[in-house]
Amino acid sequence: MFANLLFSLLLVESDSIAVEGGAVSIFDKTFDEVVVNAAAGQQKQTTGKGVESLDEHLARLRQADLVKRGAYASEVSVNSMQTERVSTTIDGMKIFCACTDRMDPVTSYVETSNLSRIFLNSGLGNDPQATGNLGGSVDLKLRKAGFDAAPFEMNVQTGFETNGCLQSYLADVALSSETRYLNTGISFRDARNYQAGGNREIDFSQYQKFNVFANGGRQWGDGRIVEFSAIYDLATDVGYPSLTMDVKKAEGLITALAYRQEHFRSPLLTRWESKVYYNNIRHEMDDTHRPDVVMHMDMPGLSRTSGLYSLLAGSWKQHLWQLNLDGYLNRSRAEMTMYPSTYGTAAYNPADRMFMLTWPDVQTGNTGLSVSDQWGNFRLTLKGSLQWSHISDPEGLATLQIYYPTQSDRQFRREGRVTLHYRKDWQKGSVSVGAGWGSRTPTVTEAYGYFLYNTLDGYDYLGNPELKNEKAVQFDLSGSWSPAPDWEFSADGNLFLFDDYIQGGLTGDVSGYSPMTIGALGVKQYRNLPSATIANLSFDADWQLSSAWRWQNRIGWSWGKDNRNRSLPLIAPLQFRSTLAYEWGSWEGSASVIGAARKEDAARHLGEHSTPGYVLYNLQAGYLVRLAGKVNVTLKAGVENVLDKYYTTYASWNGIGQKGRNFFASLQASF
Amino acid sequence: METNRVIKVLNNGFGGKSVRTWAVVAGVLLGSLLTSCSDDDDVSPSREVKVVELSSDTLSASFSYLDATYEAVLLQLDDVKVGVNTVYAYLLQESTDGLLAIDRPEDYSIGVYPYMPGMGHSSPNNADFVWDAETNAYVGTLNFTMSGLWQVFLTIRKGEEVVADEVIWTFQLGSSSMSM
Repeated sequence: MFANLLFSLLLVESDSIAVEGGAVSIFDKTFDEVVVNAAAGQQKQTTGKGVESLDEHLARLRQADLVKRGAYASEVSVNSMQTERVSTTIDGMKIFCACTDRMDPVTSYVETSNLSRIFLNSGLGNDPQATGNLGGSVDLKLRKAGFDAAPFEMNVQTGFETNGCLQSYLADVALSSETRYLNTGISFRDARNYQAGGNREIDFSQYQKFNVFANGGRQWGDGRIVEFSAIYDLATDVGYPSLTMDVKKAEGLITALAYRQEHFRSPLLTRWESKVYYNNIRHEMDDTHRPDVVMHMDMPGLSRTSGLYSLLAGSWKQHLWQLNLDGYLNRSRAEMTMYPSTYGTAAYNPADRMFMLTWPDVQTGNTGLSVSDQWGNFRLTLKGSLQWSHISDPEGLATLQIYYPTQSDRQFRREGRVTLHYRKDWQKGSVSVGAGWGSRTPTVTEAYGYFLYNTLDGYDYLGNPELKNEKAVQFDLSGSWSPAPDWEFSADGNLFLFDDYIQGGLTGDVSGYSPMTIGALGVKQYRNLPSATIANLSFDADWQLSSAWRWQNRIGWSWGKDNRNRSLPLIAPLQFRSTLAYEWGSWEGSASVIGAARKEDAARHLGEHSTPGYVLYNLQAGYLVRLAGKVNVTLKAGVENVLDKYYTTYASWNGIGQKGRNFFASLQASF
Repeated sequence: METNRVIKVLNNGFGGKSVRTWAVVAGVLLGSLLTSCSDDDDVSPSREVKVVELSSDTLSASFSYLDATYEAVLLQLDDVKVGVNTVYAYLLQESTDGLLAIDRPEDYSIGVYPYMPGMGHSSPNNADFVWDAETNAYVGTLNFTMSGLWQVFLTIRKGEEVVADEVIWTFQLGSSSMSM
């Protein structure tokens, strides 16, 4: 099925919920899902902005927030947990960032036109390929034309935003038949510095992004399918106003080859999918445009991952089961070359350069087996993984041994998770209760990172290969109630109790060590805190006021403390969102109010500051017109942050001001 | 013959590790010392004098003490790399005949403070040089946390007395790892 142009807002509609392969389970409603590109035949007006960025789609996930270091490449935060505790996969493929300074969450290596949907599993959910997903997992579903869709379809989209002069151009074509499909597209975005409220220009917030992709498939009569996907993504001249450096180039190549079978002689099997994949990420930071650079540095990083998985799904009596075997090999390496003050002058001698490995060429192999079973009102998931890691650069090992004299170049770890959920649906509501346990291995930064500077607290962070795995027990409870067909209330709560919570801090091991970064306050070391607690609570209320009007409201709040009752970082304060949407004929529109309460209990020992509360108002309207009977044209326009409020969110890195008033317009045409 | 025997002893002291130029340079010098040490704990001040040429595999820094000039000599310079280095050193006295071994070397120690002038930082977990009778040299640990220019500030002590400080060894450490 080829996806069309319309981006739709968060939709969890029963008709869009179906397990691929046909079997349907009540637990599928527990997904948090955003439709990035609606499938063909589901074309309808939706309250979106038009040519949104991927970050804007991610922000629509009910359970996700974004950590922002600039206008580009926001980091997804799920249940107030970030990259270390959230697994991100692309169509089940593991992919890891290549930047030691968190400039490139893996979601930055795809474009909206590459994707059909974004799935979010809260907590230790049912994502078979995920590893380390104590907080949750995000899977980006690639947008494949699919078999038996429209024989030919073409889409062009363009968008313009006044704030930051953001220009977006996307185009793609799709061919489809009963036995084959091919779709490919190209896109380009260019943004200058944006302005925070009150016309305060945020320097170094520009970016450019170029993306091409292709998907293809071949199907045989007996239901065997072979598919390939390839994405090349290149971001250049990306500014990070809340960090001390920018990015010259962030380049990603993502490839996959899959075999799929959906028809079996045995009724016990419903689906078998196997995939091999390879992705290569290269990232180059850049400080040459910054004023007052004390020392010029080159900081390239790379992350290469190859892997495979094989997923078998079936049913037996009441049971819907799934078995997944997966494995990946990742190589992560990051370097820092420091140039003397003579750099760029005649006195410069290349021998005066200084160099260190910030990720010591770590090779990680991980293989796991996951099993899930849904029967009646229950769902059980299990996963166990084995992980090897190897520091393959002797110099990297040698420098780590200064701090960990007995450290070997090899490590072996085990991780796993188990969850059990019960869900009961009634005519007027539902309730779901669950519990789980999971563990995660330390990330490359946490285990092996070498003097990585944190701009938030001003400390250099030293990885710790002697860390224990982090463990968490999770409890969740959610329920919904529809007193009338047009009204729905729902509530969602979860609690994470951590053991050996991994966080950087001042330790006896590193006290007195001199930092490497010029101007850094000192050295912190990743260590296991005995315990930590995170809780999240949210309420939703949704009224279908009439056939044309819909009013959606959400309020959420998070809480997180360590073993000494100090705040954990990036814990969401009280936040709310209220959207009144209108849809009638070819017209649609919406008005929304978004806000947050003051964040008081910032993690000051980690450099966080309190952020004041704010309220923002957004307006948007769209018109869909069909030309010559077959060309769908959608026009959208609106304004965000109508009152040009200057604000920062709790997740604005270093309190960077967020976008002020922004007028936008977009044009989408599909043939 | 004497020299060869000493090289062998030093090799054994290093667990078979190649001692290369050091053996040739220092071994010649130490020959007498070693023999006298093994013969008798009471080292005679009027030992046989050997003239030593320092090779490129050593690094030396001179200092003055009581109207005499000395050299703090790091041996096996070529083995020094980024990371942890267990290294050997010697203190020599300059004379008209050349460099001489000092008397009672076990009374001396060499304090170290590595410093990277380009970055303004030091490195942790270094160990001062102390006399090691087994290898007949001062042994210490120098840690270099990254490649580039390093200075190691030496403090030479005789017992508790500071004989000299601000004596500097300068290292230009390259990296074999710049590949991206």
